[in-house]
Order: sequence, then C-alpha cells, then structure tokens
Amino acid sequence: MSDAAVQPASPGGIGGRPLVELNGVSKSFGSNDVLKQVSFSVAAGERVALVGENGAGKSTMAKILSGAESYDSGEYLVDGEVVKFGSPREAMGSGVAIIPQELAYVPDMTIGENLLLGHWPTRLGVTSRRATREAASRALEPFGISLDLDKTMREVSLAERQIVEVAKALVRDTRVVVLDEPTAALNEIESEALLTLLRDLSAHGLGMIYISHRFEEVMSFADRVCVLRNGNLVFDTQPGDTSREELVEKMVGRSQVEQDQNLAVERRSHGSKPLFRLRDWKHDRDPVMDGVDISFYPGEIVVLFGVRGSAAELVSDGLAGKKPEIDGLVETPNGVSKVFRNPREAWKAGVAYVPPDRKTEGLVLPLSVSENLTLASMGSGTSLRPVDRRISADLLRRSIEGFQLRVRSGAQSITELSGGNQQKVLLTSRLARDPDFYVLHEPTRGVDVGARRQIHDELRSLTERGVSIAAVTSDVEEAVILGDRILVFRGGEIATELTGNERTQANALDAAGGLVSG
Amino acid sequence: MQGIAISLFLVALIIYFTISSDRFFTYDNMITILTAVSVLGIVTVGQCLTIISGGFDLSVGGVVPLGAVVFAKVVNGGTPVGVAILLAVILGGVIGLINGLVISRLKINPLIATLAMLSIAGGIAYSVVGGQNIAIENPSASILSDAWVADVPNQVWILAIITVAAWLVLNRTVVGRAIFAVGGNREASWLAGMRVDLITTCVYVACGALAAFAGTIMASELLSADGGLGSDSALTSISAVILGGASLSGGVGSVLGAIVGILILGVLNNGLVLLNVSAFYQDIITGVVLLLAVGLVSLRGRLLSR
Repeated sequence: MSDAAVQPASPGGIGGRPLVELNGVSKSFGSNDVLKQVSFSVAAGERVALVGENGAGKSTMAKILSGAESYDSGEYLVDGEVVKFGSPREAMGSGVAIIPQELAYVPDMTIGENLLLGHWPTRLGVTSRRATREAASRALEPFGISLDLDKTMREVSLAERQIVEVAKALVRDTRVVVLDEPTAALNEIESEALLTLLRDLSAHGLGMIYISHRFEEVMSFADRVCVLRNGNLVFDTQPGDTSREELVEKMVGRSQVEQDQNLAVERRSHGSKPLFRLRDWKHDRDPVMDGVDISFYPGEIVVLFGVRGSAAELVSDGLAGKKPEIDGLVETPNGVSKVFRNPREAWKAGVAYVPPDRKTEGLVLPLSVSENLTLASMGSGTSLRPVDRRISADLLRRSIEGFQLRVRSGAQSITELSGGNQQKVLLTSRLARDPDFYVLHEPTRGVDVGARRQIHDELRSLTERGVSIAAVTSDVEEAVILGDRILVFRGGEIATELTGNERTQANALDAAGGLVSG
Repeated sequence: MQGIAISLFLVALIIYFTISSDRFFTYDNMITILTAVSVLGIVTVGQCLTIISGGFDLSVGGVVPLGAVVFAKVVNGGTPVGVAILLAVILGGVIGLINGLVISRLKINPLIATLAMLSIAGGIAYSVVGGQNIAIENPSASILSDAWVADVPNQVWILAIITVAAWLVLNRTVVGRAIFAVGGNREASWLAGMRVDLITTCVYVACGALAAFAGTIMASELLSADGGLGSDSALTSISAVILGGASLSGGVGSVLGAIVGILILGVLNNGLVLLNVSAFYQDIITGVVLLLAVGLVSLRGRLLSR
C-alpha cells in the first residue's frame, strides 16, 4: 500500500505520486463549456477508467491530455511540472501518448517499420529494412511483446494492429497512455489478450487512462473509475466500492432518472398497420444479424439504440441503401422487395434518410444553404429543367418555421452556420418530398442543447401528421426523450423493446450491455 | 470574390500593355486576341465542367487533334462539311463516354484514366494522317472561322454561344447544380438520391465533344490538320479554369471565370509578342504571371476568411 495517497481513491500502484495531473482544467468551444474545472490524476502503474455519456467531455479530456487540444484554464501537470502541449508530438516527448479509436498506421509498411515510424535508424541518411527490424526487435524486448515484425500492417488482424499501436507508444518511452475504446472492435478473445497485455504493462509502471463503455471490462480491469457528466468529473472511486447502478446514476444524474419516469408516461399509441417492415434481415459479417424483424408504424418514433458496432447502425445503413449485402426483405407501401441495393432505390421506396455525419455524408460544404436544402429535391440530378426557386423558398420557410433554423439568407454559405443549424438544414432537405418514413441516424450529433430541443420538438410534430420515424442513436438521453418505443440492440440482435414506463436511461443502458457512450 | 479579383487582374494587364504598346488596344488586335483564344476557350468550357464535377480531363490534348484530323480526312473524302463536323463531335463524345465510364464505374482515378486516353487519342490522331500534315481540299471547310458578322471570325461567336449555354446549364438547371453537388461531395449527392455515375459520365462526354469541336475549328482555320494540333490544350485549359476560381477538389468554379482566365493567357501572349519579347521569355513570364495571379487571389481569400 502506498503511503500518503494523494487522491481520494488511490490504489496500491507503484507509488502514489501522480505522473499526470489535471487541476481545475476547463475548456470551452465558443459558448459551449465542454470541461468544467476537472481535477484528475493518474499515478504510475494505475489503470483509471473514464466513463461518461455522449458529449460528457471524455474525448476532449483525452485530447487535452495527449496534446491534441489546448485547455483554457487550470493546470495540466506531468511529473509535477506544468505543461501546455501545442501538439501530440510535444506530449509524446513528455511521455504521454494516446491510442485513438481510429488507428493511424501505414498499411503497406511492416510492423517493424510502423513501430519506429518516423524514427527509423539511419546511417548517413540511409536506412535499411534489416536495420529497422533489428532496432524494432531490440526496442520491444523489455516489454515481452511478441510480434512478427516482417508482416505488413495490412496483413494482420485488427487486434494485432491495436497491439502494435500500443507497442509503438511504448518504444517511445511513454509513461502514461490514453486508450480510447480499445476493445470496441475486438471480439472476446482478442479483448482479453489486449487487456492481459495492458495489465502486464501497468505492473511495470505504465499509467493508463482507459475510456470505455464496456461495463464488465471497466469493473474488472480498472483500479479506479472516474465518471464525467456534462463536463464535470462527478465521481472518482474504486470499482470495488461502487456498483453498476451507482455508476449509471452518476453518469446520468439522479434527477434525470426521475424525470425519465415522468416523461415516459405521456406517449401516444400508433395505428395498427405498419407502414414499413424489415423482414428477416441477415448479415454474415460483424455485427452478425440473424433474422431481425422490425415494424414501423405511422405517427410514431421508434428509436434503435445501441453501442457503436451494434446492429442498430447496420439497420440504418440498410434502410439507406448503403448495404446491399444484407440479406432480407423490405415491405413498403409499394410492395415487398429485397433489401435496397443503393440509395436511389431507398428513395423510390419512400425512405427519407438522414446520414450521421453531416460534414462528410450529408451536406455539400461549398454550396449555399438553399442549395443544400434542395439537395434531395433534384431527383436523379440529370434533368435539364430549370431549378425551381419555389422549392428552395418553401424548404427554407419550413426549416425556419419547423426547426427554428436561424440564417441570414438562403444564399449564405452553409459553412457559416453553426452545427445545430447545419443539422436543421440537413434534416429539412429530406423533407422535400413529404416522405412517410424518415430514417435518422444520430439526428442531433454535435448539436448544442438548444438546437437539439428544437429538432426533437419538430420531429414530434411530424409524427402528429402521420409520419413514421426511425431514429438510430447511441445517445441514451436522446433515445429516452424521443422514443415512443425503444429497440435496444446488443451485438446483432434486439435485446429488448422498451415501452411505457420501461423507457428509462438506466434500462436502455443495461440492455445494451453496459455503459453506452458515443 | 475570386471572379472580381481575376477580372481586375485582366484589366490591369490590358492597361499595362496598352501603355507599353500603341498597337495593343486597337479593334483589330482585340479581335486577334479573341480569335486566338476561341479554340482553347471552347476546350476550357468543357474542362470547367469536369473540374467542377470533381475531376479533370487530360485527354483533351489528344481529342482536339483527333477532332481536327478526322474532320480533315472526312471532308477530303467528299463528305459535306456540316456532317464532318458532326462526326468529329460525336467521336469526341464517345471518347468522353469511355472516360466517364472508366472513371465512374471502374473507379479509376481521373488522372490515370484521362492520361491514358490522352496517349490513345493522340496516337490515333497521328495514325489517321500517317504522321503528316494534310491539307483540306474543300475551301468551304473554313466556314467555322470565316468572318460573317462584323469582321469577327465565327469561332468567336461560337465560343460566346457555348459559354452562355454552359453558364445557363450550370447555374439554372438541375443537372448543373447536380454537377456542383457531385463535385462538392460525391457521397452526400449519392445518398441524396442522385445518379452520380451518370452525372459524372455526362460531364466527360460534354468535355470530349467540345474538345473535338474545338479541333474541327482549328482545322477549319488552318485548312489543314496534323496529329499535334492543340496537344497542349490540357494544361492550359486546366490553368485557365483554376485561374477562374475553380477548386481542383470540385464543387467550386465558374465558366465566366474560366473565360477570363483564358483571356488573361491570351492577352499575355499577344502583348508579349507585340513587345517583341523573345519566345523563350514568354513562357517564363506566362508561368510567373500565372503563379502571381493564383497566389494573390488565394492570399486574399485566406486573409479575408480570418
């Protein structure tokens, strides 16, 4: 046991003195306060889990620690000295590295070359594969990690690439590593292998900050658990001293849990005949779906809720026409057909799809607001007929009235709008043909609280006019606010359907297999 | 806005040359400049379409001479001039179709695809005339460059009509806007239900047809044709389009801007000749001026967006 534990919940790691410390650190993006006076520390050999809801501030905190983002106030200390990293490179120089969710490696170079990326051994400016291999091999020795250094990154599995990524950080004398959902894409066996490696490394003094939503992992792997909620670090304890229920409550807020109960009561029931039906959807790659059936009724919002990597996203992609490899049928007002082979087929069947990433998939950034509003009103885009100004005027009006869009004029460049307003433009663009079935994937991702409320309100009024809405989201708060019914996905199947009073954040999180966050 | 900046640059160039040479700012010389840029201007309009759609077409350097030699051969074989023009244009369109299909269906990078086609089309152009320069025996083949109205060669009017038509399509029709959308974000356009492959292919067809047409005009002007006519069209037309404000990544661009771009190149060329600048220096100066023009505009844009 270490003496004079600095933190309230310090473990028996190698020395209680913190390697890395945040003291009252705050960070805002414009008027959005993402981190509020967060105080946190990690000692050598400590494994600290960081959990929290979508937008709670975890990624921002990870970015600040690893040097990818600056902080506005407070102190960030490494080894007791204040630091302000201007780049991840500087952070790495001080021994702090991040293993991001999207791995960054050179696919066609060998593992050995990737390990020493940018630091290959040279002699008078000349390098050789053999020299690199030997250097990599020597660098790995102290850690006892075995890797086939001659294979290219492309050839090995994702799990192995993950290990290479960790090894990469190690050979650069990293002392604290931030891991962002490292097991999200791994199976049970691979996860266990990675975690065993990590436990070994922490026994050698490596400090870890482990961002995860996997409850079981967090409880068994971490020495400490920290909960972030709305930018505040609200809980810092040892897994042994708490329970899943308590963690969920801290993540979500007690008053929120109660509020859920109230909200859940007032809902309306739908008509009896489904507007759209998925029948027997199968998918043989990860996530494996084996006969999923869902019915969508007019006048209701069905939420498909699940962790990243669950089949909820797959269903959304399938309805969008992005995944022709799904095996199954779709029942639409036009009749029964096989799963859509492309977005055009989906459109023709009456599906209005809103993609999750507005910047890369939804909006055309060089164009104006009006042009983006009419993006889905151009049919196949091959007609020589003149652009109908009335359509864009009409859509602009609907966006302003319905979603409370705030713009100076339709001719403004779309990039000038805030995230919330951009999202409203995207949502309105799909309304153009008065669709009956609206499929939204992460409808309020990256949107401020006010705009989110406005969007949710408008979605609600749409259903009052008989529209059927399927909303796929990984934000449990949104799931509970929006859903008349919540279909909770776990892996490739629907774990449960929550209706009536069952629609609480706690229930949804539980059924999804843990602490879900985006 | 880039359009205004580049137009001011053109005006500045014109003023400079007017001051430096008393033969510059005359009616005749202005017509000479316009005539000289017409052929390249037509190619540039087509190039503008491909660049806005997110790609570009290097093969125009082979399609222009191909259009010229096919026109020449066919006319010499007795075919009426009008039909010959049509044949050449259709051939250009077919080449564009191949480009479009290779790029959109086979997903081959436009650089590789059109570079390969440049070789192929250029090679065919040379072989059609056996590597020679052939004369066109039918004098009425000069129709495209005769001066019917106000002593201005027809090709200038043709360029004007094509420019206006392109402007209308790009700015007033659905397909025009779709071209911008596809160039700006192909994925988003696809998800919004547009037929992005078809739109892309149409753009390359148009570019090929226009390039071949430009080739027939060149042959009409010279009453002869060989495999090297207009073989430098690719880089020049791309430069003009970029000068005119287009982005190589697509989604941004202007036909009028591209025409101003081509005029800048034409004025420079003409002015330097009038000033008796040696041909060697001309290329250097043109390159430097291009860099300056694009650099200044980009700098201005960067400063404004702070």
